[in-house]
Amino acid sequence: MDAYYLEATPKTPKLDFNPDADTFLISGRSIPENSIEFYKPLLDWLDKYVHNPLESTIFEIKLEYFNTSSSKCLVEIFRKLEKIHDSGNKVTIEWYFDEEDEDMEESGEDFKEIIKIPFKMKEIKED
Amino acid sequence: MAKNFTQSDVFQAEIDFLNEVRVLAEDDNIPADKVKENYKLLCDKYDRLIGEAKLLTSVSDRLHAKLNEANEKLKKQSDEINKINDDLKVNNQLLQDTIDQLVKAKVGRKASSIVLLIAIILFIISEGVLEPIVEERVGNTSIGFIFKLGIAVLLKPIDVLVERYMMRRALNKRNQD
Repeated sequence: MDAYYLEATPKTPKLDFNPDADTFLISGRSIPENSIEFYKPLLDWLDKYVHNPLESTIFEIKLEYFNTSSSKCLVEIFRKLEKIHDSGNKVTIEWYFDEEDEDMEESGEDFKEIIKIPFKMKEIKED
Repeated sequence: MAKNFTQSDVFQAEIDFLNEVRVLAEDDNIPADKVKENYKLLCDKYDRLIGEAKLLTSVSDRLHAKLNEANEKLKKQSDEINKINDDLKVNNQLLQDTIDQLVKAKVGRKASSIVLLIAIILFIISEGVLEPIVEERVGNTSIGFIFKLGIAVLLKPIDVLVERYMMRRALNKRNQD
């Protein structure tokens, strides 16, 4: 299965989904004009991945900021990961947040509450 | 219009399911167990949707709070910048006044030097050239005094004229810069 990679822009995050590695990544800012249009190819890619996942997948979220529609798209992504978890494969979501960013921490907690797969909160310490 | 489409598009899966269930609700020939199964599915989806609605509301509220905070911060910074600008304007005016006074003083000093030079030249011309000629031809020694008095009387108007001319030049030069 081909990897799915998109470089970050000031409004959209970096998407790095490589099945050769066991860690997928979304990082940066997610405030696209049209979130659905932006995340649709990734959701399609995940639909294929769900049918042939790795035994263990770590999904890292390192977002600085995201808009409301992006949060809905993240829910959709997590729902697809739930399918992988339900089929018996190991999936872990790692939600990274800056130690001073309470908003991002609280958002992670909100996602953790509704997503039924292991969800780890990871604090990024400032040097 | 396009924005509305995008917003509803975010919930397209939910809208599709709702339409599906509505079609089933219209059908009177569905067996009871199938109705129950769909009802259970609907409950699960609704439960999930409540969770997502709570999440989205929470995220949205936080974003609004963040934006509000950023706006307040920007407003405060804008007020500070305006105050600094006002102070700068006052300081600029003071600086300009000081510069003008300095230019005036400099021009005044220069004009006085020029007038002094003119006075010396006129004095020398009067003393060395005009007086001997006039005294020789007219034979009146008080003519020399009249010449010197004339030079003395002319000094102030010449000073004013020279200062005005030089001030005008200095102002033109400043405006060109």
